[in-house]
Amino acid sequence: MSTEPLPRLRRRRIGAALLAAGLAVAGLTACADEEKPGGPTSLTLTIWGNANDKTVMDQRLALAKKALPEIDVKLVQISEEYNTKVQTMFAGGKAPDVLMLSEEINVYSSKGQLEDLTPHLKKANVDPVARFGQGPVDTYSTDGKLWAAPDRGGAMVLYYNKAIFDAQGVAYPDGTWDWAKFREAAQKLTVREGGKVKSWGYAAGDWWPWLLTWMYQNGGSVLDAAGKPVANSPANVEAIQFYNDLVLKDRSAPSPIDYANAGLSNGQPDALFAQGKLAMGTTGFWNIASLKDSKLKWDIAPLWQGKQKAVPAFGSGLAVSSQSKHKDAAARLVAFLTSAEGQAPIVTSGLDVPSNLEVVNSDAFKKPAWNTTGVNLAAFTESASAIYSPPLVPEWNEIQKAYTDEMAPVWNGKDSVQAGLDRVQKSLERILS
Amino acid sequence: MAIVATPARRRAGSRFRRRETWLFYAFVSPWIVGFVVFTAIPMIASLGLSFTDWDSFSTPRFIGFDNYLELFTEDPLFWPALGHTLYFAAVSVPLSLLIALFLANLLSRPMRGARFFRTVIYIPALVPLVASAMIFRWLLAPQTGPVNGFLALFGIEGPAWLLDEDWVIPAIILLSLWQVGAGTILLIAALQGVPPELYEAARIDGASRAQRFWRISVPLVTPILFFNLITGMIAAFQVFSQVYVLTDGTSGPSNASLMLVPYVYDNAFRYYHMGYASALAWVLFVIIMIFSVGVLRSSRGWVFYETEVRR
Repeated sequence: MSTEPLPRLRRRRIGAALLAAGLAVAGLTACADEEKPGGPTSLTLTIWGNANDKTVMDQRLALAKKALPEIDVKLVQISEEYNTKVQTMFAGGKAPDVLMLSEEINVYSSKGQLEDLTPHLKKANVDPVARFGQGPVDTYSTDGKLWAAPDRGGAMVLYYNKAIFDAQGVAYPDGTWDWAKFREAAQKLTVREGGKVKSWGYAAGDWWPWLLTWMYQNGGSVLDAAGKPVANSPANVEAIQFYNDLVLKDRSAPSPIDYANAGLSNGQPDALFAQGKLAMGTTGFWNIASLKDSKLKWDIAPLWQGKQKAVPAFGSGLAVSSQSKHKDAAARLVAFLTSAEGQAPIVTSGLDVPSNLEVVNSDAFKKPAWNTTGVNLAAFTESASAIYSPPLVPEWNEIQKAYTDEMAPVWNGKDSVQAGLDRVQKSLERILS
Repeated sequence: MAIVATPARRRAGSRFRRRETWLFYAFVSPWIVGFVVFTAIPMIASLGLSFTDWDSFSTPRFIGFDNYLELFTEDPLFWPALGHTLYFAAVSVPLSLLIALFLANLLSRPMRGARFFRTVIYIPALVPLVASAMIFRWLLAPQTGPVNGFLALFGIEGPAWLLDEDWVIPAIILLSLWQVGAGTILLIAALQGVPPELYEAARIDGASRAQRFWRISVPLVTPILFFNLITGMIAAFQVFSQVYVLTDGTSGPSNASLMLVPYVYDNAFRYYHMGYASALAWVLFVIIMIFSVGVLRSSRGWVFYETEVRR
């Protein structure tokens, strides 16, 4: 039942390059725009994900049909190579009317493929910031234009192993910890036996939500307000240095080599946590499903904070294509799907964190029937206001790659944080030029 | 001797020939259609696209030789990617040939359990590459992996392999060597096809074991060695899956294992620079062409076909 987010999966997936042939053949599933005069408006909605994701979307669309009887929705699920296929639909002039989008939002918006939802939501009397919060709205906006309505996936939270906390006599985390307290806890929670680490205090890796959390909490960022790279700013250097000290100096978090020794690739805290070899890890809602039947004693809490609160979020939004012949109907559908009513199935099924703050704040979300083990779901609610917005520029994939490549020697202790970030800065300047 | 065909016979012959020609095209047409649709047209298209700035979806913009200029003069990753690919090919191809020849020589002799060993050698070639790569990640784990455990027996501190810039390509080479089974099987067949009377005659003349191997076995299997060399070389230049799986779809620490085809893939499908990726693909094509033609040319000097009479 895990709903690990798509881009993370893609990073790990073995893609075969079926060059031009693949492009020509791929996903030309035409979405008919046939419409009988006077009949219902027919819309196409594309989503990625697994069977569970589809079931929940079907439930939501059934609710939509009741609220908006004049709209018929054809749901198309594309589980592999989603963006390639959807872009091919755009190129063929057969774009879906409504599409699920995530980190690649501005690959689409920069090509004029998306409709600004601001006027549409205004017409529907929806205030995006009130409904979703500033961070998620910023994530999907450029220049004051909202390209997608946040739909799924809330804040990432701190998963912690209660047994290790109890054994080491450390008080459970509660979201008020500062960096110093976090560091001290991580040290105390690292259990060694005969010089070997039996369980780690904290674990992360080089995935962007983890790195950017340190940077944003310290007042840093990847791009400045004008969109210029500031990868090696003092705030960023200090933040990454702090994280790398946890790993290399304190040895309270695993390095890439430690991960490799455990048979894992870099940055798999979830696996360590499930094995009971980790006291604290930062992960999203999706990990609950994998841990629900585990014998571990665990819970979740909001993340610690630095100079300011900053919490990563990982999820998806719903956008309306600029090619759609029924933008108005499409926007009404999006408005409904992100309303409290339209998001209810996300909660009852335990699929994900809904984006609608009203729902996140509701008891329906915090105390759902499936939560038999009493997981502190309010941690997501408390984190929602601190969600930061990553710089999802069209070159986002290249930016991530630059961090992965240039920082690798830093994580292995072969190079200084400053030198690594200087190289990242140089790469970003080239990528964004 | 002159044969004068009667007009009637010639007509019958040409009818037969025409029919045969027609049948020939009928039978190869599936291949021709496949080649034209899935290879020739995309290749020509990609040549055209290599002169454009194109994100795969919007209208391509013609930019002349800019992609090629950027590739050779500005892109900080092209030359390293090319260098790593050459390094990988230069080591893995000859090594796999030598190891395959060595194993084939051992396994082509009549001995107890030969079938068993042949099977064992061939099994890795049947294991899906992704599964093999997963096993290798575990084998090559820095401190807990068996490979470094073995080295430690001799007091050698093994490297971090996949996490070490200097050792990541040797690790990928190791993975490619693990799959020499396919080449070995071909060579076993070739070695067993060498007429035994040649060895007998040589033994009577007092040729040593080594001499018999180098002077009889090797020359007679050169066509297979040649085949393995060409296919192995092309495959090495196009190495993709090994890199992709072993180093997590990225390109290893500090791009240390970045190779050309993964770089083409990244540019085309992850960064949406299809025009640039096309230019890269064509440069790779030309490089492979040059090497292939070089090997083909050289083959006249060292590949021996039994049926062929040397002049």
